[in-house]
Amino acid sequence: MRIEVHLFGKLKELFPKVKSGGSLQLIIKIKNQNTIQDIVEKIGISPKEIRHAFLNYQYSSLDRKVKDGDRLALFGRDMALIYRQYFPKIKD
Amino acid sequence: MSKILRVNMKDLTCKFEDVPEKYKLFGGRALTSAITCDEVPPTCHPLGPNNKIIFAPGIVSGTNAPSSGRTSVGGKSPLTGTIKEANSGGLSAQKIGKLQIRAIIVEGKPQEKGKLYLLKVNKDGAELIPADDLVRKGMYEIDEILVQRYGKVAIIGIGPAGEMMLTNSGISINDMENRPGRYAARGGMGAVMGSKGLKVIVIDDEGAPGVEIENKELFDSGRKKLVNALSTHDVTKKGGALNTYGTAVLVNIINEAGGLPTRNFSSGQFEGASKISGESIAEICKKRGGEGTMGHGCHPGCIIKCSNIYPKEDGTHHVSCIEYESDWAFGANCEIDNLDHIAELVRICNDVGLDTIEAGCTIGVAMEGGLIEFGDGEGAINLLNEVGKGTPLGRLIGSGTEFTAKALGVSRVPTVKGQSMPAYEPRAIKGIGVIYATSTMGADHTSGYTIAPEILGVGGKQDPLALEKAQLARAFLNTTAFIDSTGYCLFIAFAILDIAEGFEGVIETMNGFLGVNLSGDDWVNIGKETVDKERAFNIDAGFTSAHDRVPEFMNIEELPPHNVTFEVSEEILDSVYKE
Ligand code: SF4
Repeated sequence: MRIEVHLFGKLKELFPKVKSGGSLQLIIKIKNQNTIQDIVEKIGISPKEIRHAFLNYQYSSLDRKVKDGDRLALFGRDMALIYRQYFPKIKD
Repeated sequence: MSKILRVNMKDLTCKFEDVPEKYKLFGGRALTSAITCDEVPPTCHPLGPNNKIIFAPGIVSGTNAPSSGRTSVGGKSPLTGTIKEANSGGLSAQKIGKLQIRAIIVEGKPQEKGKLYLLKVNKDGAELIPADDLVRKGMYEIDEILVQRYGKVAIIGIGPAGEMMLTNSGISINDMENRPGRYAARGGMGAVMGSKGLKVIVIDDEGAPGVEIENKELFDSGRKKLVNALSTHDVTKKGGALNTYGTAVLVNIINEAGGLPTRNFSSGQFEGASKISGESIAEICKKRGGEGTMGHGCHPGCIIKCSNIYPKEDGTHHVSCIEYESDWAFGANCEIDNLDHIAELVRICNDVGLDTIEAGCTIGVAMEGGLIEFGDGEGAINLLNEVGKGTPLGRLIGSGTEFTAKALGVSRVPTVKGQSMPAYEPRAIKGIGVIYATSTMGADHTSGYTIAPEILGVGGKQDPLALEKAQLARAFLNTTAFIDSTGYCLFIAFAILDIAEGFEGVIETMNGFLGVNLSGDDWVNIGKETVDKERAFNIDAGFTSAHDRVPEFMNIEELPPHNVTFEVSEEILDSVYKE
């Protein structure tokens, strides 16, 4: 499975090549069924550091399963969504 | 002893009155809305002699409570025809508070047409002075002239747009650098000020008596709790989201959610989002240096500091500030991905005296109507510059989104009750659509919080219990009205919604200040009464539930990337206000 991951804000600093303004894009290749949390851990980020995750543009909880071709966007604690209450969190 | 200052522009008199007992617990929006309901006929012409404009600091403004320097400006709106409260930071609230003035009511119209005045308020009283020398001047120049003339004062004023009484005129309040940029922007209240012949109010608190806090101990305990909550919450703390990236932290997030209105609300995602993001603004401030900075406060004592000073290439000041709504309005909504163009468009608004949200949406419909192309930053700057010149084209643009759309035959018009929508797409973020539709102020993102998960099920499907939950939604509208009355910046809400001690702290500062002992529920109930009054005013002005709707195109055009329409039923919208 191929997952496109986008990191925003300070999460980008985990990697030396920081692209200004937008996201840092990573392509993660995995074999088995995985959740967002598994992907986060695979990248080497502690799930505690994730404030918001969007899977295919949907505000999602970390236990949601990913599938081939998905787009996952991750925002760290420095990028808290100020109108969080407007977004129902999607679970599996 | 607190007073109300009543300024009559017909006979040019200023008099101080006692605060009536019934207003004892009211500040900010609760007070401006109560006075509007008591004194302004709902069917009056907003620019006629019977409308009034009321300026009121919040209850704790003038104390050392954190982020509490907000001024409410109220009356009947020429943009929407509804009641209006526009809320701003800047220097005025604390100074008015320290002068122990609870509200300034401006009424009547000067007998001499076109005559403009300056209202000077200080410890000795208030007087009206002819302001012929300020006619048609922009706010940057006015702030400079008046600070030179009067020293460290607060300046509440209108630019040329307000003088021309254009329906998108806002009211400027100077910031800590004595520049315009803090605006009671929405709803065209600058035109009401212009219709009164009032160009500017100068507030001088030199030698002012200062605030009187009834129960200092309780107040201090509350203040500490609130400071703790604000300093620990991820959104409001130092180095947190607002402090690091400003409100524009939302650009990338809302874009990722597919809810960033793009090209006049025809898509929920903007290809150029990363170029106009909060991260990009922060990056440019750092790279260009000089005056450029994030984490800027709009008034002394704000500990959240969500504002910024955006620099020119050489590091000198270009504009303060580029916040999310302005950034989006001129950016994604007009397909402009150049921050320097956006900065210039915001600067023109600050100078001429316009609301950035309304101006950006107006340019969006002007682009859709073919006046200029989407993405044409230079063209947008030229178009907006017409407003200050007072040309027929400028007057069209200065009259707002709905007016411009009519003139150009555009039917995709993102407004509710004549006021344009801010930066959250109702089709992607349905909860905010409910707020836009039902707010007493027209489309307004600051009217309520936390509705979506309560009123709607996952993925926009209506929850079977939604009717019951709509009443819960109503509770959030009330809470917001309450915060708007305290003097605290609405951004404290992010922390006090999550941290119970923070909410307790707010209540203790209010009770301590006034020497009363009300519960949180009692205070929120005052918020409810405020919303009820505002709604009754609107009903008497001719508004019905048919006005509590999002524009038709949102119910028939699908919005990419989620390809959904608004989907919230009229029944649900109508249930928000059902008892
Ligand atoms: S949080 Fe921002 S808008 Fe609110 S008072 Fe502080 S600087 Fe002003």
